Amino acid sequence: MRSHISPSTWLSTLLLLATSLVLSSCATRNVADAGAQHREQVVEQDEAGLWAQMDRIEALMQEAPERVRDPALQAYVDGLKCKLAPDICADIRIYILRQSQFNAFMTPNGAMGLFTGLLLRCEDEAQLASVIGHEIAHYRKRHVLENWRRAKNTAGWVTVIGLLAGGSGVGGLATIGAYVNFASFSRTQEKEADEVGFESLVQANYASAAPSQIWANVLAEEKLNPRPFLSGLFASHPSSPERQRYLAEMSKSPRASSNVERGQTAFANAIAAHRSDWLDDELARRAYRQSELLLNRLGKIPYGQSQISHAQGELYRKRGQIGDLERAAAAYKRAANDQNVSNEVFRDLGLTLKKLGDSAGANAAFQEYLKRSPQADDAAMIRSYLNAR
Amino acid sequence: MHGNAYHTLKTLRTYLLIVGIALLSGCGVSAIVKENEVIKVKDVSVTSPLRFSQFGASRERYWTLDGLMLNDFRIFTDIKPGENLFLNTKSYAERRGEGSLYKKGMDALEIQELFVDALKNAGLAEVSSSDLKPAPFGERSGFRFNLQFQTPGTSGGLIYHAMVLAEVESDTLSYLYFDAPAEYFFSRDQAAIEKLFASLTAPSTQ
Repeated sequence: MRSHISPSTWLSTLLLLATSLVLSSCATRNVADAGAQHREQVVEQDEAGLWAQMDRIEALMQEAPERVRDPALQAYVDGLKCKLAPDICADIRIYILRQSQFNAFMTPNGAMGLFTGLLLRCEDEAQLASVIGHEIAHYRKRHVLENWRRAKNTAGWVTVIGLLAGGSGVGGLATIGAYVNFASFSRTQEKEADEVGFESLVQANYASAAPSQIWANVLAEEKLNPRPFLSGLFASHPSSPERQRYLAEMSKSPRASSNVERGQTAFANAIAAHRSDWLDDELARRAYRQSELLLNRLGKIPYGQSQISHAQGELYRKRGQIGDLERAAAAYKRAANDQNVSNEVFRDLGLTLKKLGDSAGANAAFQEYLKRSPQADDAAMIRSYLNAR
Repeated sequence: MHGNAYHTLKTLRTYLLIVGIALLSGCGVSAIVKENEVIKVKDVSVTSPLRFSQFGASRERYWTLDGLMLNDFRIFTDIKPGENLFLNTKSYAERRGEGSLYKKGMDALEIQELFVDALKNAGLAEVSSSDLKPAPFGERSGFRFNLQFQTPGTSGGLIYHAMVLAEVESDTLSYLYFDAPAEYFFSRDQAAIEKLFASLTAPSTQ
């Protein structure tokens, strides 16, 4: 939509800001760990105007239509945050944002953005905790603040502030994209965040393999696309072979190896009400190669099988390559056999069978859909298919 | 230096000549649509109930009363398999055969779904569709549906309503589209746009 393609979306601005804060080309300066009086200390030291911009970014997150406003899910992630960082729990506010990318970011004032594409890709609580713990570690070690202080004297920072001062974000996508792709934590900061995050994971008794698992999974998806597409997080969190190696080594340390807590059931329950929407968002990207890999992986974990089968059907129907309609029909039938099947599975099965030329099967599926959802928004269209036989 | 400057000027002159020829040769369209004027885009015609500002090219027209963010009416015709809904330059994903591309064999449910996906991919929030039903598209069998979405970047998001009348004929997609902010503009303009939709003529090709 030309009139609505928004290169200046607030989210881009947030990403621009968050990543601009981590410009890594300057010399390191030691700062104390973040503590309970973190905000007051920082406001004293830094320009109040710049700090106010952080609050403004947080206000945008609070008001955003993309914010997931589910008290139960919010309580769940807040609980994780406090489990991982009990001493600074009150300093950190998590905002769950409905975006299909795998991404999380932290601002210097303690506001964390967590994208639903990341939640969708986690298999259990331990994996989610590993990401939250990593982001908190960046905050605890004041990496974001360090970079902000360095960056504020650069031309790039002037641009960022200019963008923010202009409202919820103005300027071109190219400018914003350049910053998002340009900025990154330093190698030292990244490793430190991994180590500190891992320590908090171990203390909370989570499975120590979680960080290396989630990075490996997302990296496998990312490799299917030569351009950064899925993960903004990779832009600021380079996932090198070295990193894979030391994360795997950490998980085998004697202290961590006895940790087994995965929290799969709690995680599944927490996201259950939203997972279908997030799968829809993932499929809306029509990034078929990545989504296929993701769904095949999620199909192996023991919850929400019907949702995943339905999503696989949708993926194959949308992709429409040779053999895909047959694959889609098989996936929909798997979903239909589940006790918790959604009504739309029968509509989508009917549509697929119609395309395959199986009129009897299509009509049976459409009739089942109308029986289950007689008041459906698209019932008139489905009835027209039945009347056209 | 002189050689380079001459070359640059020559390139610029060639570019301006091409743009000029394109503008003069019918790629562009009249800036104003008068009340009761019949506008034909390929074989789709509509009669304008109001005076609109207009821009567009051979297969697409954009009309507005107050600016595209406040009321945005579009006529798109003859979209071929492999093209995107808004005839935009293809994205990187679309060039790889992914993204929101119109495909041969898509039916009404899938066209509606394609609009939802395209709007989501354009960065809009809370995109949903409703009221899909058969509807005549001139003398052809068509369908219509409604859309709703919110803009990001504003406090709480600005809610938009949209309506689409579409048809697929000989594997090509044509549609009329209208969106406006739900507050004030959509309800103010809805009757005029319904009249515009009703004025559509498209000959049967069967």
